[in-house]
Amino acid sequence: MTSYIVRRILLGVPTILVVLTLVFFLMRVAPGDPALSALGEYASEETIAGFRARMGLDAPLWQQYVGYLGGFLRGDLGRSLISEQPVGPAIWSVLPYTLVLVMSAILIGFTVGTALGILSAINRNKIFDDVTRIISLVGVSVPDFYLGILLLLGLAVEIPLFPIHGGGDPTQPLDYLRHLVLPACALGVISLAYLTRVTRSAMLEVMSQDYIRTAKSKGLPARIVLYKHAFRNVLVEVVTVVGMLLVLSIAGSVMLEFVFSRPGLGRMLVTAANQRDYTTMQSLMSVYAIIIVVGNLLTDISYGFFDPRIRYD
Amino acid sequence: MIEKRSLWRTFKKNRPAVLGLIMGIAVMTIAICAPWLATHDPLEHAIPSRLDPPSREHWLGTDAYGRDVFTRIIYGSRISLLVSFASVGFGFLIGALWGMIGVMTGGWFGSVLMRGVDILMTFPTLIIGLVVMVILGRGVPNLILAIGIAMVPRFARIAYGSTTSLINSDFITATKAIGVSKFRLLIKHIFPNISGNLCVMATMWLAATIRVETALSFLGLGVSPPTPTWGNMIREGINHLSSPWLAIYPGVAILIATLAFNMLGDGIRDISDPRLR
Repeated sequence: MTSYIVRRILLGVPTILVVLTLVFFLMRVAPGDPALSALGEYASEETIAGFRARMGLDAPLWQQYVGYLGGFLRGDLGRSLISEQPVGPAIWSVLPYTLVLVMSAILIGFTVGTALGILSAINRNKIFDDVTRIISLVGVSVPDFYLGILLLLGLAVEIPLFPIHGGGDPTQPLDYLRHLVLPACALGVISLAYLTRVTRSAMLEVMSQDYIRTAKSKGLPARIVLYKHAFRNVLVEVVTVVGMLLVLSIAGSVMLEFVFSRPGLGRMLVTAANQRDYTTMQSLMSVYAIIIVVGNLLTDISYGFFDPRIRYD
Repeated sequence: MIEKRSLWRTFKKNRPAVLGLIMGIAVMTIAICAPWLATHDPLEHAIPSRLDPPSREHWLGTDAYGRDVFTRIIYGSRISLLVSFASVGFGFLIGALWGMIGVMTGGWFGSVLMRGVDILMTFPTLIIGLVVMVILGRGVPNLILAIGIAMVPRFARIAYGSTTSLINSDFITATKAIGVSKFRLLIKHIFPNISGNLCVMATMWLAATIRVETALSFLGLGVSPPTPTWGNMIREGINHLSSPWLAIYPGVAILIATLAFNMLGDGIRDISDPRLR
């Protein structure tokens, strides 16, 4: 197990390295001088030269690249081209907001989605099944930011149950939670929709297996057959899509942080994108890469937890 | 021919897929016939009637410049469909080539190509599109390129899988044996055989690209205003939350289009997978 985890971490390193390199060079070949876009077109020659020297933009490209990689290894993510402040602390301060949003969305999707999927499979081709399938179809189709706006209009503007914007004060759990509810629900719908589909089809497949028939015929109560025999096996299938849902939810978090003006990596990315703040963007991309690589690793490790037949050696 | 007819019969039995096809054709017809269907000029300002709620004159109300929301939604369908079809087409062609070359060359070059796909696949399409948009700048061609690039790894992976299962079949061996060049083998023999699989995925991803296009426009990184796009319109809508029709109706249009292509895509996948038939 330990050797498997170590091997997986070592495999993740090249991924992150390639992302760092790709993003670094892409940002450098982008048309337009970063100094000009930071200082404006009317900046004097001296101001630009001073800026380039301060930000290390006057060094040869390979030197900038080595400096950037070295900094990254030491945990230094460079400075923003716009504010000239270090990017690292800014990312650290908003990272928890994004992680909490993404994880609560997947959690909502997971609980509601698997429940709907199982009920839908048990009631196959009845009205409940039809309604659930329509819900999951709409859930896969509706853009998350639009859903966020609908919730915002309905439950924050028309009926002011929840705050319109912001991330809430982390020291006050109730306030924090109230700010989380709407974006997390809007973001959770995509996971809910996919998990409903996957659970339903996995459940239908498992229920037709011989061991389920045996369990039923030896007189076990339906509840035991369902939860002890069928659901455990369905979970194995369900967990495999969680990695994909993580990627989808990270994309969605960018949108919902923007809609709800919620602090987070996504809103930072959109702001940096609109200001063409290349250094902040490349740091954010590498943080996203790390989150996704770690998330996939955790998902893969959890297979063994849900399915003891899986061995990691 | 019999095969095709039986496929059509299976397709007809799948009611959501037929509904998706009808809705998809309707949306495309609206996009093509926009100038004849629109009731107003999509760009004309009319300040006296700004932010008017839906009425008989303006069916879906007006925006902050007094422009007719219904008309702008009709015209907005053009950008969304154009970008979505063109970027899926781009991803299809480049991805197919990437995947086929990955199999044909094999060795270290092939594995580097496919490892590249794996790495790109770790990122959400939206974030790749966003980064490319920042580098290229706003505009329709750049938007097509940005979303197209984000779609390439997805198609490349399907193409790689399909080509791998094809490469050892007898007819490919026979074609190689009579000395057909690698290029010809790729274009004339492998591509036609894997394009079926790719087309199924392309239908499924049309809806996904519409979502990414509207999302990028919504973030202000798509097509510059005043060109009407569904994403731009919703973006303007959230600045006027007291006039909710501004954000609600363009979103309904997005939902209709994505539902149509999702239902159609699901249906086509179901009939192309014999196990599900």
